[in-house]
Amino acid sequence: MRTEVLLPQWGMGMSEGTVVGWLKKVGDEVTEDEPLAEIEAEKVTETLEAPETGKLVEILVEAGETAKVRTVLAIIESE
Amino acid sequence: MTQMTYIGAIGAAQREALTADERVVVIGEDVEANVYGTTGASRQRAEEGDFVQMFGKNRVRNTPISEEVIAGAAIGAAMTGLRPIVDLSYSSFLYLAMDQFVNQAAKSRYMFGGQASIPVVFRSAMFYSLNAGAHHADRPYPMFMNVPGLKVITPASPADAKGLLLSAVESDDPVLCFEAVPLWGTKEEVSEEEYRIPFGVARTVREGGDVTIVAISGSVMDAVAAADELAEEGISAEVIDPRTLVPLDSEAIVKSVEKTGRLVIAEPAHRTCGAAAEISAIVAEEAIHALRGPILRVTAPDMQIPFSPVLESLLYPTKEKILDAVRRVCGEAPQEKRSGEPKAYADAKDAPQ
Repeated sequence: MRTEVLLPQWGMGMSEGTVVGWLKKVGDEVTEDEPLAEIEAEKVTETLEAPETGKLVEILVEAGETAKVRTVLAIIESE
Repeated sequence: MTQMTYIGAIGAAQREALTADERVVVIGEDVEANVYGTTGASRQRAEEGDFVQMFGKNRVRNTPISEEVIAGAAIGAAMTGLRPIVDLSYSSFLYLAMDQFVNQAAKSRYMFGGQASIPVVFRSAMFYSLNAGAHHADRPYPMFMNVPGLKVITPASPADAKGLLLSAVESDDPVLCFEAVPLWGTKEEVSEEEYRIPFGVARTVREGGDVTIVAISGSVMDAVAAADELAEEGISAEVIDPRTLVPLDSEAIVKSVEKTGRLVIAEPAHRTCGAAAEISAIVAEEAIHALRGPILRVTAPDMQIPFSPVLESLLYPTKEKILDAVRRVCGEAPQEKRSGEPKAYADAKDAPQ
């Protein structure tokens, strides 16, 4: 099963976020709720957590790039 | 100079105003806890703490959740010597205090024969294009343009937000500052010195000779993106940001239209009686001789704002909608241009509509 990792809208005023850095790389096993990336939004820097347990198979938004809320940032492949 | 976000620049302006003049106070719901990110230390000054630590509870004060009380208390405080900055959070909440704005703030200087002044700034943020629902997404600044006695400002960049807000604090009239939340994260180099941007002086964001695009608030960035794309096609667009809607720099707009002969106006508010309607009327009255095509407005339609992200995103001006409007205006009236017809204009006439 492929799970899309979306950029959450953490606050009502949040329209986009910048990936400060990925804490996991493609090929890494991740557990649900495990920190995946640091995201800088308008007001805060937040930790993005894995929505699913599995393998991180794709990173679509690289560190330093900015994306709108609800953009697919990465893909997790699980059993 | 330092990199500041729009919201950071607002916080910097409030801090500078509180530091410069002890009559300045900040009141609003949850300003003590820095909920909105404008009453705290910036990242560079985190060790100084929030405004409450810096200036004390006497000057940074939480209020009950009652907009009429907040506005009324601020007006009274202003009459008796303070210079309040009021954070009303969402622009949609201004309606709760309508009597205070329209009957008290706007009229008191006149009705008391100038014996009282109302040096108060009412800040609020327009949470549009953020799926905040119909109760939070309003852009109601045109309503307040229709009330004599209120100044209305709509900063569209971090540097403008800081400079206009400092001018607002020093104004002896009530000022309503409408901040666009989609701009909160925009960054630019902003001077750390105190500076003021005078009211009633428009900013020419891009210079051009073929078409004037007047853009307001959050639509300025879309207009600039459109102008950059048009430049590649050979259409030279002038982008003007009025910065303050009351007072309005109509002279700058009229002069630009006299130069370009074409006008497109983009704003996130609704169409009927919006700022774009007023600007259209002024240009029609004062520069009809210069117009070589219709005046086009790119606005939100007269509809409630849906919660759905997909539906909501269709409503506001975008770069694409501004481009369409400009192409329509430039494809009109094949008259001889004073400065010679640009190549793209000739191409556009033959392009399928």
